[in-house]
Amino acid sequence: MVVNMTAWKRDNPGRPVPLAMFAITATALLWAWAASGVEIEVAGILLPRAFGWSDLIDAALGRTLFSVTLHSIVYFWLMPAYIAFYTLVAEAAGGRLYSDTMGRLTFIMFLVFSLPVGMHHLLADPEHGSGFKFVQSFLTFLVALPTLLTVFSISATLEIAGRHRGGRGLLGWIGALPWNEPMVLAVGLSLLMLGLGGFGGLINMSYAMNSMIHNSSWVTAHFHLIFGGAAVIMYFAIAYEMWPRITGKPLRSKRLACWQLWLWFWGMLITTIPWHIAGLMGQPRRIAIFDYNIPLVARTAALVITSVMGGLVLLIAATLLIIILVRSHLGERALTQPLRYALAVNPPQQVPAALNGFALWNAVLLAVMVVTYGYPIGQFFFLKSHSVPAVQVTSQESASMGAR
Amino acid sequence: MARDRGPFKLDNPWPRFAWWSTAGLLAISLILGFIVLGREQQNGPTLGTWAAICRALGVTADVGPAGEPQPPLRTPSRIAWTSATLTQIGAGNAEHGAFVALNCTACHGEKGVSQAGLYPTLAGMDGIAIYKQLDDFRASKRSWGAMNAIAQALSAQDSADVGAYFASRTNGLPPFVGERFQAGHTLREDNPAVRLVFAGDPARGIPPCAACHGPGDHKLGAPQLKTQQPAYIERQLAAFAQGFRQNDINEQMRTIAAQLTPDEMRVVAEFYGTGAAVAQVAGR
Repeated sequence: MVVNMTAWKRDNPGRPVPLAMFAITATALLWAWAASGVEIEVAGILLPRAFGWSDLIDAALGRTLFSVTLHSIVYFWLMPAYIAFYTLVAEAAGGRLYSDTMGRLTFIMFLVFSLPVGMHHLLADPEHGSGFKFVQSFLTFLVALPTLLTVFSISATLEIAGRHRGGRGLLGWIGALPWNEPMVLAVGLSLLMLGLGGFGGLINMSYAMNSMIHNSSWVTAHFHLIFGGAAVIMYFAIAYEMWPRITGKPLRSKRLACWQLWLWFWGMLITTIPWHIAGLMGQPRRIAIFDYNIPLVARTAALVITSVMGGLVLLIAATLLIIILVRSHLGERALTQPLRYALAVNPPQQVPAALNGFALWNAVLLAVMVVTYGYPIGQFFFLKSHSVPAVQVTSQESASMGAR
Repeated sequence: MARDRGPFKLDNPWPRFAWWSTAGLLAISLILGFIVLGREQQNGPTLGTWAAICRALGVTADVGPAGEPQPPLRTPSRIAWTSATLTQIGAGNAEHGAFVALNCTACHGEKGVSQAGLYPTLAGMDGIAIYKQLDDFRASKRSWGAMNAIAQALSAQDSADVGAYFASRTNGLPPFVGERFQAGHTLREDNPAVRLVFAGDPARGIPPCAACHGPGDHKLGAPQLKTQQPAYIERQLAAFAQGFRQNDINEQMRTIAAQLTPDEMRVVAEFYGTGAAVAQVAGR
């Protein structure tokens, strides 16, 4: 992506990089930055143990390095949904993108603010003092900025489309939108789930409030709602948009596709809302067995069962997705319109260099990473060691017994 | 295209905005996190600036427990599974161990195969387990008549050697390697011994015995139990349950054994001891 963008800029001197290319490059850079934590952990801690050069691993350092990757990975998943918001929605709704610059700012802020925040996953870890936990918790709040900016500019984009289609009055444009278009419907449902899940996320990352819900099923519910809900429903809409263009066979029924999106939305709400409540009641995450003989567990029975029902609805919706795509694939080949990315109301003629590339923002990010992670990682090398012997969990050398 | 040049030059508006806003946000968060937040204590005096910063970095000495009466500390074992310990055990000399093992024959049987329910078979037992028990006897972390005196007469190296000797014997307990965990045994298993050994009882917080003692899995320091003297296993379970034996490092055996009924102790001990576990593996 970076090479492509560099080549494009070389071939088109002075012209602004298209928003779609800019956003995808931001995603690639985010991935590269995010992977650095796990790469260092694997190369510096896990492989030496695996090769037998050392029989100790520094568990605390490993957790800290993994936190670099842990949270930004989540944004890596969310980015395609945001790219669709900015580049596909306006076209599907029959309007234009409200602001190209807001899109650029959003992706820049996601790149800068989704990395120096991973320690909000370590708020209960003893190897760090309170200072940097607070600093990273504070920086996590700033992720709300690109999110709210996106909600604002996508709502404005939809309003432009709605008014263009004849909607009048304060809210009349909402009814005038083409809600039978999968992409438009998906955006509406996605923003709803993003709102619900986002407010839950603010609780997760708050240094103090986190202790109420730490390691409870509230957390699991939160990321199902954000990823499984807000991001994946956009993946579905992207599939409905892209699949016909890849195969040359148009979607047979947009109606069925909308049904699928609604089912997924309700399934996700039915799954995650009781799950959140069970977490608040103290249900831990990562449990396999629910023993309803225990009074504390018995109280959550109705919630767990409701949540499972939601899971069934999700299963039906997922099956429906495959049916829709296969059905369309078996249909006749027909010429479909080529994919067009959204045009802004005011298409950019020239943009500042800072908004046309990532050199400045990579430098800013590097500085912020050094400030926020320098001491938390560096302390293990001159202050504390948390090395513990690594125990080989599996030693199954022979498959001859018990395999029959 | 003057605007295109110099994304790092501070006289351009965007770089200036980027650097100043980033520095400002970091400054605010550092002041809040290190000076304001670190200063306040729930039940203590407000700290000075320097103490607050040190506390926020996690380098203060005041992070210990509050000044409440604490029961005297009792450690279950002197052994910790550090690389130094494992290296020492690994360096055990089986030839010298065979000489040391002459001391064991009176109770643990010729070549380490016990003939009496009071004493465990040592032949084939994991050297690491033998080393830990000898050290626990030496430090009086575990008590059993003659064993404390015998262990005190042995050096740490002798313990490693005798562990290596018994581990190398092939006439006793089968080794851990070469077995897969037995799939297919669930909580709905009819036979209570099979259920406890392979599935445990989560409702009472009992993990499967096999997860540490085999067959199919193994945790550091846990001895294998297959073909061990059943009366010995049952006796140790009772000792853990009643708190006579307390040398399990994380209190895991005391916790588990206290949850078992006497009948369950007996059937589990018989399952391991009489070779039913062997038949179970071979029959599948």
